[in-house]
Amino acid sequence: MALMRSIALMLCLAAGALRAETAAPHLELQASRDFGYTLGSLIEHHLRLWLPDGAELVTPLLPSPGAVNDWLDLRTLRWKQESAHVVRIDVTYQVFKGVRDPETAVIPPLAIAYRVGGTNAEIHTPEWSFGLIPMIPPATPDDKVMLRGDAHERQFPARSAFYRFVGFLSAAALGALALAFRFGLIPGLGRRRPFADACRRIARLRSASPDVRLDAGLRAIHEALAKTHGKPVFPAMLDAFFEARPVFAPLRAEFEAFFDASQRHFFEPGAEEADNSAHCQALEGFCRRCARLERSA
Amino acid sequence: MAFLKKLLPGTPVLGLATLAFLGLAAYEGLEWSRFERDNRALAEPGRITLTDDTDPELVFAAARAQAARGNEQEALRLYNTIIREGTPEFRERVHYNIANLYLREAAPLWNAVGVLEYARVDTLVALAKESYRAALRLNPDAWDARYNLEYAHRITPPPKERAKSDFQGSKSSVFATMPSLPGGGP
Repeated sequence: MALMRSIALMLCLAAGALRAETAAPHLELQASRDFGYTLGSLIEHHLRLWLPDGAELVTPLLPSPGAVNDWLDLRTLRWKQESAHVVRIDVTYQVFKGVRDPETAVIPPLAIAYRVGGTNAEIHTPEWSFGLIPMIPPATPDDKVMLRGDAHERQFPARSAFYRFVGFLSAAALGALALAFRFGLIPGLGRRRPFADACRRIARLRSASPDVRLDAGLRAIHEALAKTHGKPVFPAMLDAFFEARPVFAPLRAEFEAFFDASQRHFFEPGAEEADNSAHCQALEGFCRRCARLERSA
Repeated sequence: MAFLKKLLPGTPVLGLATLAFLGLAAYEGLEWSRFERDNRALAEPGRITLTDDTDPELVFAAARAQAARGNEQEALRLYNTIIREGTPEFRERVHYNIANLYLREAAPLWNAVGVLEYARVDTLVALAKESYRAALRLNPDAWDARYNLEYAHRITPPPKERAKSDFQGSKSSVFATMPSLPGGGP
């Protein structure tokens, strides 16, 4: 029995909703309050418009912002389709009515245009009364009213500009410091780059004879290796060196060739090949590749 | 050091960021210097030299200084040169001060001689009301503008009685009403 009653109730509700959708359009107006407004106040009206089946709002014909009458402005009018049959319209008015004593003012009806069955029709918002109060005490004579003074000029925001200047300058200084650190330009703090130093030393000897260049280049790279590893590196120690500094591992073959060349140059003078300038170029290239790996480490 | 090195971005990024920060610092430094100079000028608005490039805020200060010296016409001229410039807040202040200039002229007249200066008071109050409205459209919370506009409404002269439009003349032409030689006679 209860189930039957529930079903009947639901059917009634559904029928009511259906009737509402097919019935004549109607409006519901919501406003926050209707008292306590003064000249200059904004009044917001929230309208909900129910339209019948097949009807739609004619948005180009909606009232546009501007003067409604000599004391009322329509400031904004926004609409939103809430559902197939319901449109929400938010209207903001501004009151410019000056009063000596509390008064009741009336906002005139607003015409909302809609189209149904190919013809335009209008629905009007209801008149809306509200209480308007003066700001100047009514009993004050006109010649005793003190006008409010002029607006003053604004100071330019020098302080905030200064703070931004200091902030950006500090950031730039930090960036420069980081760059200096990266390039080893900070004494005692910068990264040690022994291979880069060795490359510079080798490059400075370009005008020297190939023998001198080869000799100095080999020594420079030996020193760079020792500085990098923290102790002199011999061919037998290469495994330990690569284990400690795996970044140089891709150059293992070149390191072995370097040690071979060093062995020949310093301990087997007779076995040295005649073309030292080619050796010098190879050595310089090897040093550069080491320096590149050193920088990426 | 290795930890620090890992934290740092790559050299190109670091270089570009440093240059960008340096550029921004230069811009803000120039702004700071300009603001300091303009603030010094605001302290002595009577000495502001006006050119086409003068900041509107300085023109505003100069206009206020002119008004304070009693030179309302020059003040109005200056305000009208900057009425469309700057932010809405700035334009609201300009409209409000213009309205005050009109109302300050109208109020003493109205309170002293009333309707005897009808035309002048009516015009000044109408101009003041229009400017207050413009200010309030830009900022509805401008309470000083609301207050002064209410006062402007209080001193608005009542509308003049309209000329009667129910003249029921029986003559076909206005010339017919002019006196002429009396007709008839011996």
